[in-house]
Amino acid sequence: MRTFYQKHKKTLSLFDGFFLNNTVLERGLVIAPIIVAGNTMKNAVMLSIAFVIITFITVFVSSFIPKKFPYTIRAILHTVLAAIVFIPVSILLQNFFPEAVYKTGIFLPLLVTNSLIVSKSESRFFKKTRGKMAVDLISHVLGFMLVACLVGALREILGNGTFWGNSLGMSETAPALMFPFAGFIILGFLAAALQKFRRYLNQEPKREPEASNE
Amino acid sequence: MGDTVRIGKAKRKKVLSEADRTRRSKHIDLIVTLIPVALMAVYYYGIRVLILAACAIIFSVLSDYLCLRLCGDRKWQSYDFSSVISPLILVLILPASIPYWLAVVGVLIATFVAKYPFGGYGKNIFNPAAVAFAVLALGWPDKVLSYPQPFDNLGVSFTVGGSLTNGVAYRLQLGGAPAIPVMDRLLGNFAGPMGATCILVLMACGLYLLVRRTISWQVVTGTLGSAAAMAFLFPRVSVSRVDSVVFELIAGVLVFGAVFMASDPVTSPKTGWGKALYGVLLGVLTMLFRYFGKMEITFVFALLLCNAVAPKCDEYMALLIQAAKRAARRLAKKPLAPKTQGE
Repeated sequence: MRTFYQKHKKTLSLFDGFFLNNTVLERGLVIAPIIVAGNTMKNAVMLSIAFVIITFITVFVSSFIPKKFPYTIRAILHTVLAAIVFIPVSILLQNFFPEAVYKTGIFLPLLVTNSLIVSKSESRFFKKTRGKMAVDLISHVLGFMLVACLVGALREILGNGTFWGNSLGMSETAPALMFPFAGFIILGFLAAALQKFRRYLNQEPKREPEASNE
Repeated sequence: MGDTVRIGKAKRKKVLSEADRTRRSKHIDLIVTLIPVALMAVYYYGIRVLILAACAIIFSVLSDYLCLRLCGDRKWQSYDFSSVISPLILVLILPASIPYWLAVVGVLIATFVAKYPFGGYGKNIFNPAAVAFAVLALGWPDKVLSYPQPFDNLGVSFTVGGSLTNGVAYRLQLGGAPAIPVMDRLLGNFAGPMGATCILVLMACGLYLLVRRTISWQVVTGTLGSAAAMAFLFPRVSVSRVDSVVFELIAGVLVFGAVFMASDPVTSPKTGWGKALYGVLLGVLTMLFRYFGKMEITFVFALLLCNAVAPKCDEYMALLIQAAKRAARRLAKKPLAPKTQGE
């Protein structure tokens, strides 16, 4: 795996945002919704769908805003655009996840001002061509979805003994996992595991010692 | 070449620095004083206490070793007995009816969450036993905050049947004074955390540790003094003020925590005045949480907050003392009133 990664590093770096440069685990961005609101699979899926749609559409459309405008104005326009996109997204989610929208509280509307829209769009995405930007953006938003769903599933199964609201018949659960502090701890461990894996991939493979000529 | 390596290894085995020797002797003192507390718990609650302690210590040692290997080390430091002390402290602030698996979960939390993510022993910010207890109390309040009566036959099965009751802290929270005879209050013959109720033994252990300078008197007297003062000035229950002080001191894990947890040299301040401030802050916060909070065991949460601000206690007290010294020097240098002519 390491050899394959090092051989195709340049190609694979296009999709870094999904795993190795994951928005949440590697960069520590957009962690609040996952930690506080993402304690069930339903909440996590709902937050992920909202994040994917709002972020992708906003950043992609914002890439057409001319650079003539000062940065301050552009940042405000990004957020206004995200807020406009949020309206139909929240109506859509209200139809499919009525309870989950209520349970996530402020953290769903907060996605409008997430770091990918406000700062990473200028510092990372807009520096690429549109095609590469779209691929990078999709990797990043799917990376968020991966982490949110993983954490949500873990917390719901072990904390509540349910999955998607359906009981799994577990005799003992760990209700502490439903609290935000457990979300912090789980994210911390996942981030540590990802760091370990990155170091492993970037390590130089051990060379076999040359046979001595005697 | 081989001789040099052997000589080097031999030297490393023999030489312990003065600081390491002091640390080792403090750890041994703590273990020596935790033993009588554990024996009192065995006297009240039976052999189950020993099994809980054994499970906790075994899993603590194993998880410590695993973490050391993950960090690239193979050996413990010869002064480090924290993998025995922390689980013992944790078990003694839990009820005797706690399931074995929950004690093990607590120990694993102490190691994997509170200790090694910060760098291992000597680098942790928060007291591992306090972190573990806080997580267990928030996650499983029905199991962690319900206690068997002393001399109940708990057996050694994985879960305990029979009735459990609330502790003194819960009754005080509701505004009622517990009906416990005076001798029972001192000897711990009432429902509560298994190692935190026997006040006489805790005071004797505390005295021994103070004389040996294993724990700092500033932290202990600051914590207990400020908590007692608040209980005297603002009693929660309608009894005499002295009784209010006694009940507040025996409730929860205040005395046990002041002796065994608050003076942890890794997580507490380093200077004398810093420790005094830390102790007072700890006692005041514990009482405030009791007055206004919902949890009945408040000491560990106050301790975690104080651990976070421990370095600042040193800093602010140093600034305060410097300011006081400057003010004193200025007052000393102030000129006398001028003499009038003719004198």
